[in-house]
Amino acid sequence: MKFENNLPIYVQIVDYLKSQIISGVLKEGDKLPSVREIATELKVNPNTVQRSYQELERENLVFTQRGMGTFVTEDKKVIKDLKKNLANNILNNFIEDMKAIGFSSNDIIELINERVKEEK
Amino acid sequence: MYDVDNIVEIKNLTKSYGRKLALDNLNLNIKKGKVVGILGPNGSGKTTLIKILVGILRQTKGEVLINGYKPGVQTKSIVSYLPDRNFLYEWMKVEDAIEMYKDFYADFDEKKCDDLLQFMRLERDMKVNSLSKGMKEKLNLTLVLSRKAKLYILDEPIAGVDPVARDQILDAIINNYEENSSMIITTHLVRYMEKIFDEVAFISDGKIILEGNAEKLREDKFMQIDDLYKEIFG
Amino acid sequence: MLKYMKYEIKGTYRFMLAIILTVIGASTGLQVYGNKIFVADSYVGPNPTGILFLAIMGFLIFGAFISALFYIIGSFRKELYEDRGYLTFSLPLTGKQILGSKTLIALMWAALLIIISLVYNFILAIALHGGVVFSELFEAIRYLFRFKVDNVIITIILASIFSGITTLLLIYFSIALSRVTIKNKKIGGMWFIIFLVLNSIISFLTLMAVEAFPFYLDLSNFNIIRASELTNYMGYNMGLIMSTGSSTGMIITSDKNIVLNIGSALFSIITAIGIFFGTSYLIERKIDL
Repeated sequence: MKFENNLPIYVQIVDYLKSQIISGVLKEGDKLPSVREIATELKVNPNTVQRSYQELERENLVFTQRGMGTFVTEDKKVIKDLKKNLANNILNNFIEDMKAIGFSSNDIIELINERVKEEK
Repeated sequence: MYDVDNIVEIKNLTKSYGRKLALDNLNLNIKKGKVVGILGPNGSGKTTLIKILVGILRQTKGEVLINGYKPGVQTKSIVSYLPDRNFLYEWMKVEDAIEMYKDFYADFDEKKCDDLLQFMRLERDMKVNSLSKGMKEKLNLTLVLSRKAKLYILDEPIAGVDPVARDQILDAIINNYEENSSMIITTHLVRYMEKIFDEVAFISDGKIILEGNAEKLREDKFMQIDDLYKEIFG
Repeated sequence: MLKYMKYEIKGTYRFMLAIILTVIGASTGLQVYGNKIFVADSYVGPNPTGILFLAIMGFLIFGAFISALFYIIGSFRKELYEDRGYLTFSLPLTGKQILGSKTLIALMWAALLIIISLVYNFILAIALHGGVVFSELFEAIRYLFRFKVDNVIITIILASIFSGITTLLLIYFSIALSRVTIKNKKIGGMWFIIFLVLNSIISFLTLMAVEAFPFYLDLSNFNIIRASELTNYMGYNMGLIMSTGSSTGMIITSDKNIVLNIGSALFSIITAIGIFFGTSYLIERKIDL
């Protein structure tokens, strides 16, 4: 992964792991790499990685089994919600940006319909 | 009063060389279990501060406590110090240096040392004097990290080494830093090291001008520590 | 401290071994050649090359001893001026332990160098003149030991060792003091001037101590004698007066009694201890690397 310039490291690691879960690189019930492994791979303080794991755990995306490691949740709904959330975020940003350059809601829908047809 | 949560307490620390102030009434506390970056350009007082902490330089004024003790024999046995220069004796082989660490530091872990030697591609029968600069730095770091010390103090650990060695050194620091110990690292190469810091302190003209949790600073200033460093010193 | 002494020896033995071998080699050359030209019944004078050879051998021996001295001094100086000090002074050792180790190892080398040189030359002389006859060698060693048992010899040896230790410690102290007071690393020879000044002061104070406390101790029977009665006490036996540096105030009579000035003896001992603690304090508490 590449780090962005304006976000805390732990947030970027959280986003990175989320994208891995959404894209299916990490599947339900998969074991996450250990904190140390990620820390070494990304050359990041283990405490920071720990914080990212805590954040993911707080959002119920992963769970920790003592002595075993950290695993991706087996609850498909949680992952689906995550996907939906992410989609919403993308949409919100998109709509906001479009409105900023003077497009109305109808203009946007029309534009999207055209684009989708083209891709088919 | 001494706070047991602090591994290092520095109060009103001043060091003058004649009229020149190397440290100017500097205050800093370092919490146990943290990796702290002391960031500043050359000549800002980083090394002077470190040398006082490890007990090889005396302050003009002020007080320093390490784990509650003034720097001395007591603190030297719990502090693992990497100087910014090649400090091993000239006649030594890698083997001799390891033996010396084993003899003097009860917290030296030979197993860890062997792993690190292998990782750094160092052999026990190599002569210290014939090693390249990068290899010397790796050997020094191997020795320092092989101790299970309460406090590690690394002075410019990646200065002047090539990118490959730099990555190896960073890996070694991340992999071998003990969870319950603390670490102080000075550097002016912030970009390469900032991700391993819990806390950072910016030092300029012998004073701490900004300090805080690295992630919090990124959040508040909306930029990476390296950019902040450039903004302050650039 | 024993641990640190181990690394002192490891760091210095190569050089000291070379010095000892040089002395042995040059002594051999000197004696073998000397034996050739000074055989009693057929004296052959040395030719110019021979003289040159003898001079070089003599110079080698002298040079070896001087180098050894400077090497020992240098090994202390390096701790304060070179990067190795970063290792030495970050070890969990007190100043006393570091200084003690350095001093003891220096003494060990000095003793080894002197004893080996003397014994080797002694044995070589006997071997060259009398042929290698083991009974003679044995006799020679026996003679050597009987020679040693003599009170006067022992006292002189002890006094020399004591004075050697004091001088070495004073050199260390001067180096440490010049490091602490003069921050400029380029002025390296300052310690020698400090040493000369301190040495003069100590010699002067030792003389003052003799006057301030005019009582003498006869080491053969532990009688205390007033200075005013000294001439009377010694009578016609008054002989050699030792005044080597810090052991001023020791008088050896010709019938081999040793009389010691109490004031200067005490002063010398206290000075030596004081210099030791002073140097330890400086290197542990005052040196800025």
